[in-house]
Amino acid sequence: MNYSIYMNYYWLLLISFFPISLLSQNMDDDMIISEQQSTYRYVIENNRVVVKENQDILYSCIKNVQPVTFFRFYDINSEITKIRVKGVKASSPKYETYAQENIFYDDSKVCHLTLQFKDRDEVGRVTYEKNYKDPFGFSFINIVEPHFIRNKTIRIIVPQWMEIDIVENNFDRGISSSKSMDPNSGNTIYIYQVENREAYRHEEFMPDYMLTFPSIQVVPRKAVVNKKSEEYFYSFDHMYRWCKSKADMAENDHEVVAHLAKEITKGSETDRDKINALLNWVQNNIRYIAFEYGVQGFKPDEAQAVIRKKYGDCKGMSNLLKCLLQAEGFDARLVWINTTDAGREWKLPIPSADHMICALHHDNEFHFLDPTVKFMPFGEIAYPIQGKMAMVEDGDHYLMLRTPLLPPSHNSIQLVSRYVVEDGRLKGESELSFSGEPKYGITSAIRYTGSADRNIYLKNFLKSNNPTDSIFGLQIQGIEVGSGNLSISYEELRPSSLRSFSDELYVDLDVFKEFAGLVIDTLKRKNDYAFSFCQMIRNRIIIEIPEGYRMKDIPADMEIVTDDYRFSIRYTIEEQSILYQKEITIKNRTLSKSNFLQWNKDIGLLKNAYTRQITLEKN
Amino acid sequence: MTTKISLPVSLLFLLVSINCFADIPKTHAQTVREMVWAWDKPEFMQYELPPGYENESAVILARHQHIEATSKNRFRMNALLFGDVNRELYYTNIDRQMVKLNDLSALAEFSELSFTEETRISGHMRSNKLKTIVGARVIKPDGSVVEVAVDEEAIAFTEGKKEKETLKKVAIPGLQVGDILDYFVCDEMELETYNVPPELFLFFGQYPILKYSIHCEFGDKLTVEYRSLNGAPEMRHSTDTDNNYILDAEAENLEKVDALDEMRWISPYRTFPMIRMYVLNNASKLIVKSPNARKGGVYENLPYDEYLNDAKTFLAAQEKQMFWMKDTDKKVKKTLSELMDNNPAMGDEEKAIVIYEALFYHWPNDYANYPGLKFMVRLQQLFEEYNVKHKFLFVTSRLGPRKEEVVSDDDMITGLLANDHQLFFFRNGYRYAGEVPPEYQGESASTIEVVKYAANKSYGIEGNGGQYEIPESKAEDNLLASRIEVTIPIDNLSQLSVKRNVRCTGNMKEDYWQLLLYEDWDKEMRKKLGIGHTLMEELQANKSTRKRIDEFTSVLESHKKEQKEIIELELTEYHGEKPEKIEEFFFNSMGITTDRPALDYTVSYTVEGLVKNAGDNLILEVGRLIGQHWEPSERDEQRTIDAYLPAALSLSYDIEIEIPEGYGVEGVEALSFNYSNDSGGFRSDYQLEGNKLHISATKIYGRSVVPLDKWNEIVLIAKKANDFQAKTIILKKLVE
Repeated sequence: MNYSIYMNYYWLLLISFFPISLLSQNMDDDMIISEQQSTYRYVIENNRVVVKENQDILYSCIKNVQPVTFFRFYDINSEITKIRVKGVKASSPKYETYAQENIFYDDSKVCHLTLQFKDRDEVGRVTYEKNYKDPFGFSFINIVEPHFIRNKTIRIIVPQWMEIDIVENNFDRGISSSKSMDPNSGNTIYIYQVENREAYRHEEFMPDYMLTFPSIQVVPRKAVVNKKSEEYFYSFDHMYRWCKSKADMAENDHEVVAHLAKEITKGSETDRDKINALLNWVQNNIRYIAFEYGVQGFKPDEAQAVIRKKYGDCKGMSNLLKCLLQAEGFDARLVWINTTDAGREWKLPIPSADHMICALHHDNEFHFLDPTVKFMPFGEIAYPIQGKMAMVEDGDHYLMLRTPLLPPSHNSIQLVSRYVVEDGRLKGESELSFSGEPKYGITSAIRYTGSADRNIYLKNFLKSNNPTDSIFGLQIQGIEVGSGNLSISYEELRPSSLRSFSDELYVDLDVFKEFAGLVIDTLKRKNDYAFSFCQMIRNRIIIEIPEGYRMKDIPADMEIVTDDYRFSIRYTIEEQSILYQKEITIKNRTLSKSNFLQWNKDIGLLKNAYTRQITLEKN
Repeated sequence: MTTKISLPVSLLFLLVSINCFADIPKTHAQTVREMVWAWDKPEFMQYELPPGYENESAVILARHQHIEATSKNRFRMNALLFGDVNRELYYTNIDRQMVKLNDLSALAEFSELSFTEETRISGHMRSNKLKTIVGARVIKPDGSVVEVAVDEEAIAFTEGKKEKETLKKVAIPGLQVGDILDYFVCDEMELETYNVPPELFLFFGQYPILKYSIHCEFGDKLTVEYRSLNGAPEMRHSTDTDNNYILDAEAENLEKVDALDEMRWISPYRTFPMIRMYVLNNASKLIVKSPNARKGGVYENLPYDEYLNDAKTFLAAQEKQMFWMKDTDKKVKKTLSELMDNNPAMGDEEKAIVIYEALFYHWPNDYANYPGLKFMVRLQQLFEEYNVKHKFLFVTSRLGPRKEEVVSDDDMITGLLANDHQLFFFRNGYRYAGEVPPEYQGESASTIEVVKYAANKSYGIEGNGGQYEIPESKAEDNLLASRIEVTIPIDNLSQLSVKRNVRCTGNMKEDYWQLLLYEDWDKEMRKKLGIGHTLMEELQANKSTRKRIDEFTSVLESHKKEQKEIIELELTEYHGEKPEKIEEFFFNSMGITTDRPALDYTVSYTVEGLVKNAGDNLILEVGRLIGQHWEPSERDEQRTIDAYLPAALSLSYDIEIEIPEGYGVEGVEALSFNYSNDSGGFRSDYQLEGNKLHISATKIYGRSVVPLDKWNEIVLIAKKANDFQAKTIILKKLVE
């Protein structure tokens, strides 16, 4: 699923932690930051409030000499005015567009250089200056760095004419803060001291940065420039007005939209039919392309432009859907929302929304529609925006609503199989159904695979690394936009699931053995583990005991229940058949480091249960 | 206050005003687009998809390439502000395709275009200009055509403080599944110091191509050399009124081929229909060329000897390029003189080996100033000096064009043939001296004895020429022999304790090279060459390298760390399970010297997931002890082309399983199996001795090149190996 980065300013520093090769070098404790001084100062230049950033960073070696890549981000609203290296040789700074996967274009730029250390005694000093052309641009200070920090001091100098709020995220005992007043200038100085902070390391499936790592958010409230007051995000009202003013810049051609809406809903009888038709049309016909620079980062593309181009980002697609619904007489509005990636509860007027969707007020209820999730039907809501505070357009005002939070069972994979023993192998029929996030993901994978390759890939997936098994009679249902569940039914021959030795048959009914390999390397893993979403996996598999055989041994049931997950395997013997039922539920998206040992132990038990076979013997 | 406006400002104002009312002139890009859309080619008017193509993701309804190249004498200033006249090359290549998009996958693939609008590439004191123009139209199923306003829709990516444009991207507006995308990319070049990049016209594609045509117009001062390969159409020749050479070719219903990087065992130049073409500006003074270079004209299927002579002239030119060799020569001579003093009875073969090893070991790690050809010339000179019988050898790679189908001297690799049977090449990986890379084996090479280097003559080297058939290795020469000892700890019956020894020869070593460390290679080579001091001692002794000892140490340390991770990865790939614990690993031999030619590696570890429980009994997945083997897919079974394996090869496994106390073994009979065909085979057997079960398995692919009619035999061998991989035995709990 692609979500656009909506508030560019806010994310500029944050993206410095994205895993690109340029940035992921030197993530070792061989090199450390022995001292770092960062100062941010509000000043007035040419009757405008700007922010000046100065950093002075000392890198030194504590073990093995490694090159250090220094990088900082900027965009059209900020510029790097100075970057100098002393003490070690360094490459010339390079200024480049920062290309991100899934983003067609945005205006983020990166400046980077490499400090070439030669011996252990060298100390490399980087001094760096950056100007933010307006106070919106300066909204975030990261605490952690890709290197261990021995000492770091952050100062935010706020003159009397400037008013800001500061939000401290995920602070711990390693960070001390103080606030003082400079008696001469009257400036307020916020000081943060950081000591012995572990290096940031990117790992697969790590939790969202904003939920985990310490950071400082700066919210400009008000400034008095030449006796004139400039208000920024003084309240949610201010912030809403700011967001709304950008959205209102889209001059939609309602005639074009109304004409299209009529055509789309031509055959629709009920309101629900119309809503479905309009949502599905946008999902089906508009390609999602994240395309943001300058004002495009905030202003939705006009509805008629999106119709013409057949592509748009989240703002353009949501604005089009809103217009289409309105054209058909529905109460539709734009919604600013934080996805899970933004990771924050929206308690303060911080412009942190990274996504735009559409809300529909219908039957006295708000429904949230996200046209960027291609295979999500009306009535469902994507995991990254579940349970989030949503700022919903309401004329000159706004509504702060919470989106629904769906249970793990909404994201489910269910396998129903029935097997018989035939010619030394299991022969059966199965139906694998997906709902919620797994459904969106698998449907997308199938639809975006070339028609010629589709069956080959699906068969390989269903064989699950058992090359001697065969899959045939594949049928897929629910692959169209707007479909509820996706189901794949197939017939199978599985010699790999049956072993025959003398008078006994050994049966392994579980082909997929989900989570068996998910042992976490506690020696290497630095961060909590974050699953893509909460989910439920269910298996209901029946094997008929072949004539002339009886059940000799059946594995013991297992049940593990914690606050984070549940693993359950049950065998039920019926007259001439055995029913295998498995349920795996991931209840919490994040598995904390403190629970890794328990998780590994429980995965060990699950693996062990997977290795246990049913034994049938001849009568 | 009166404001005075100066005359220049007034004129500027006047000019701007006039321009405001004038018609906006067409840009060059607009002119090109209009010209391309107006092409009189009926295939680009045909929007109907013929029956039978509905299930294809995308279909190229038409493709046409229009190429023009000419050269002109131009006066230019160079970087030092000296001017002179040189022959510049002007080149245009318009590649237009009309693609029917049948599904989302195709829509995703074709919905964005990216290109570099303008760039310059520096040459020697000159720069070469490159420009790209893109055009696109969307054709709707109702036949309506909407042209994309590329100049307005494209977004520029920039670099540097001055925001220099590096790339443009355009998302095609209005494009949907069911539409036809008609687009072209026009590359225009003004080249002073380069030839046109080699042209490769491919008569196959990832999607069906209904019609493909090529039209080329070349100025008569240019040299055009080309060859049609593997059933590609021949080009038609003619000349126009300006004496330009005209070349045309076309084909219909081209073969659909999977993405080449997803295909196993292919040699594209020897398999797929294509035309390879070189457009050379041999009249230019600024382009390096052979004295044998052909004059202006069109040359189809030039004989191999022409390119061989080119290769010899480039090789001979290296003789005059022996700069900055003093230090290297000194080290080589010192090493050789010590070795030969210690072994005065050294035979010719051994002498050739140590000369190669000494030069290779001391050769500077700077391939820009010390390229492979320079190495070969110096090696030849050393062979000459030490009286080793030798010849230069020129060979084509099995993964490149065939000898008789070369179109450039770049298609040939230079080596040295010593003592009539030893072969030496520059790039050698972790092979031992004289070990022949498999891609040259079985190839017919040309040789020449060096009487005299003659770089300014068209033949390059004076001396007797000849042929040499490079012997091809057999399956047993490329052997991976594994000895696997397995115990099942009685206190943890779900785990296997494994000691695996792998001994590889020939091509089979290559998979394990990633496990080797440069540091170990260096140590072994020093030992072999009798170099007394260590790498660190050598670095310490030199003023310039002394400062960087910490840096070197760090790099070596990080390699060691990586080695552990790679070994874990190798085991994970082998069993399909991550090992629980790696107890130890070591290399008995790296296979880098002639006296220890095999790579011998031992690793001990524990692994789970290969034992299943059935009541009190254990099911052991013995088949998985031979690791993961290629599993032919449906697509593999439907292969339509010959296969080029890295070499004929053989994999053998000698497995010893200690049956845990209190258990008996059943089901071993199924382990006895034998299958063979003309292309190799798979066989397995077992032997039970006391509490030890011995299992042996051997898989052989006996051919390096498998013709299509034998492909099924390879698939069958692979499938038999897959069957074995699924084998299990039962360890039955004995009744006490």
